Amino acid sequence: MPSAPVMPADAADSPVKRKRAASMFKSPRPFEAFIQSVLFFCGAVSILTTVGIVITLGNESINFFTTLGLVDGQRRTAAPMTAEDTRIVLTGGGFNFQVNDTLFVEGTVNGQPANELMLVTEVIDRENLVVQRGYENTQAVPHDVGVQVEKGKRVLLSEFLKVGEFDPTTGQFMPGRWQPQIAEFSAIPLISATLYSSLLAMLIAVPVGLGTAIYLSEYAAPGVRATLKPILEVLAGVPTVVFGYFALNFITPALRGSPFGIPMGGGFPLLDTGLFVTYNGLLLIAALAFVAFWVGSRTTTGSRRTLLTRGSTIAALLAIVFGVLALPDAMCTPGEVGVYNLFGASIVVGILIIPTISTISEDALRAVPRSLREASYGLGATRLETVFRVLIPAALSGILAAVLLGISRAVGETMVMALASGAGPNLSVCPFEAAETIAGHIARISSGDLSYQSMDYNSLFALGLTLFIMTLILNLLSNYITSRFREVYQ
Amino acid sequence: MSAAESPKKDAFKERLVQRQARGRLWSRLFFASNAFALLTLILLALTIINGAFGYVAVQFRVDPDTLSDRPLETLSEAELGDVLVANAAGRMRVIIRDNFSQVPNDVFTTTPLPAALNVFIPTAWQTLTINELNEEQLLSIITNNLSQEQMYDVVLNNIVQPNVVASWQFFYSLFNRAAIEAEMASEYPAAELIFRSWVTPRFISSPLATEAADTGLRTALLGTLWVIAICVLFSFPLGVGAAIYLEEYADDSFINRLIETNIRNLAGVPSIIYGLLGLTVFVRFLVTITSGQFVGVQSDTGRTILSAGLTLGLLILPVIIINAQEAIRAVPYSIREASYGLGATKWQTTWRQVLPAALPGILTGFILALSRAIGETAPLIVIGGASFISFDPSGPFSRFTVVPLQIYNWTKVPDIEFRNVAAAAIIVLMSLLLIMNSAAIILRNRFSKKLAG
Repeated sequence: MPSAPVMPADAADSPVKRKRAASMFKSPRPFEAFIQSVLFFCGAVSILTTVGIVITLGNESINFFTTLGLVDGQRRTAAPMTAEDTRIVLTGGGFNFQVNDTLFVEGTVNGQPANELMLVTEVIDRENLVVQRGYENTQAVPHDVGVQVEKGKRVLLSEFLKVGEFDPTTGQFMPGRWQPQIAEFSAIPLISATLYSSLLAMLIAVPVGLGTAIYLSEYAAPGVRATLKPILEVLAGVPTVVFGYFALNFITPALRGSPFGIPMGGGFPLLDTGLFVTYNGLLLIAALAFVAFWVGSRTTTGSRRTLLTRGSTIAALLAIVFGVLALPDAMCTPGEVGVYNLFGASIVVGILIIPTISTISEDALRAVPRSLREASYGLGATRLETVFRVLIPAALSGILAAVLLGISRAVGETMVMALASGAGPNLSVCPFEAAETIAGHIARISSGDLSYQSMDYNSLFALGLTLFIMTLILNLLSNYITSRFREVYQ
Repeated sequence: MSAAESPKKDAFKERLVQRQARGRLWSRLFFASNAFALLTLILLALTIINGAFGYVAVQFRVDPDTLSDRPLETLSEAELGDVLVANAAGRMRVIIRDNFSQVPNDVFTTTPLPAALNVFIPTAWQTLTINELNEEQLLSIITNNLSQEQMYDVVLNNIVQPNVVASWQFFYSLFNRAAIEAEMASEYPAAELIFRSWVTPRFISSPLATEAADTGLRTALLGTLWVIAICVLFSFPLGVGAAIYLEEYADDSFINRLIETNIRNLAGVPSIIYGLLGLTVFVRFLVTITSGQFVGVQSDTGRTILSAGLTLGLLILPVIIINAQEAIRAVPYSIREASYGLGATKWQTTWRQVLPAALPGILTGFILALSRAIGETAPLIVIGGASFISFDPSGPFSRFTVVPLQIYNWTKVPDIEFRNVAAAAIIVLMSLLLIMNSAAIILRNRFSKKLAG
């Protein structure tokens, strides 16, 4: 550095003045420090939010997994018992107890409420059970009059993630179910529907979003771009509940054959068994044609080869179309597309994440320096070859991040699913049936005044935590890819 | 050129043609992706229009054409009064009670007029009760205190009593008029076929009702305004403060990097998770604050406007911070240096130089974030927005419903009339968002011109 700071001439005059001048730099500024701490607090609110989310979800989930929930809300009455009795005699109805069920016994001792947990060790007959008294550190107390018995249940993580089990008597596979009313707590149907719908959504959103991004960044003239870009912005700004309305009032009716409420006849024809044969036949023909054209094109030259190559492309496209058309038949039982179905909702979710994917990918593509494009053109590549062999590899980290972010949005999308994909968890490979995703289920269960003590309430948080972990992993992965694999150009 | 090279050259040309053809095909596909996005937007708009307009079959108790030779809505107050006397003289006391009563119904007829009614009463009637007035006097109370519009509503509700018995959507109405008329003739012979727009000034200004044909959106619109007001008060200072901290004050320490990463991750958390957070923290844990007990409100529910506003505030905070950071970063560093050079402190520089220069950008980003909050539904379902309330929200501690929540509730109902209402509400919501986004764009253009000039 050429020069040190020049001291004012009079600063060195007297020791006092010199001291004052020096102290200017040290003088405490309480207001500045105060402002800084206030601003730091503002920044720290985001940390508090995360901590809040983790504690909230974690705490209530732990409740769900550790405390005994009362499952069916049915109260049975039982005969009075002493503190030592190991046999409980039920009176009244509803005796569906099994060994290892936990009983929550409410009673009164000397007019005071006294509750106790008991474990069923043996079922003698429908009305007589042998129990272990004072289960789970509760006190074995005598129950005098008005003894009430409820069925309790503790949900284990292994049950929460249970895919299903083989029924030993029939040898059939019994998929896990999420039905809190009858004490079935396998989250797999919800998780699988969530992943399934995300997959279907990405089948729409990735090709269309990427195609849009490539067109906007590489092909579109500035004027065209200036008109197309706002369209995507509008699409991104539409509230998701409106997309839910769209799914329920356009996409599903269109699948069922009456778009805009005008019956066009037929509907989505894929579930028709007659057509199943037709589509598979056409698929077979197209596939054979593809093989024939392809082999032919490899063995000839000249204009005939061009013709055959083109033919093979068309045959391949047709095979894909017929394959897709024949697919639902392999997955579904014949019937109509449901009024509420996962497929329609997923298409709409795919539409609504197109802007997410296209915006981020376009930014990534535009960040690739011009020199790379020019080098590619200079080597004689066409625009398409430049896109596929230079630009996409160069922008791959950005594109991957965009796709992951898109999946994360699809996984967490609530309103479209809550409105259009139907109620009731359903583990099925057929996307034309109603199925509920995690987010959709939370929305449905929590609308209305839910009792804070119920098992439903606690289960919401266990499901919320599952959803949070899924999206967190996707987001972290997306961040990691952007920062780790980003190509930095000068 | 040798003869051996010629086939090679042909092969090259041939491949070139193929490559170019492939290029053309794909460029069309890329364009088609854009067209797809455009198409969905058009279909979305058509679906909403399809729901918001269309034929309805209306059954009248009294046909409005028999009441007057001119359309009812063009009549003056006095003429409407005459219609009222001629057709519903017996209902006038009930009309007065519904509109002006300030005492319980059981003592209404026995209370002297000045105490019973909240309107001006001539001195001559000071001691009379409602039962002692004659028709003409009753009518004068009504016509003196209601506007023409209100009179029209009174006549409509008390005499005409229209009742929507069936509804058809727009495109069906357009193309299948004959089918509709046939259905009308067989199913509702007494009803009249009317082309109805479900979005009307009346729809916006009247409160929620249980009947699709009568319901309005005012309760939900006011709820939205209240929730957004709370959301602004909470999230604007916090968001801008955090952005200033991160851009101007934060050094590259662990905690600051953590905050930065954390904000980026929070932006990707599904909104319904924020609902669960709001339910636990605001609705349950801070119930004494959110229910208003701490200022003496008699209520024990935390499912209030305050909880909703705070939840939405937390939800859009990351977006606000990220946008504000970008705006602050765009302020050239020379401005800061000039300010420091003049002896300003860090806060003086930030407050007087950086913030004014960054404000348009910050505001634009903020408005965009806010329009996301307006359309957000999922967290409000979880924290328990009421599905039906008929009273307007009166403050931060009242229960609430908002426009998107009503759209959700109405869309869920299988009745076609409620789909119509939902579509009308969507039009109102989208108009609101359009206004806000245009404001953001105008703001951006105006200030960027100012800065440049």
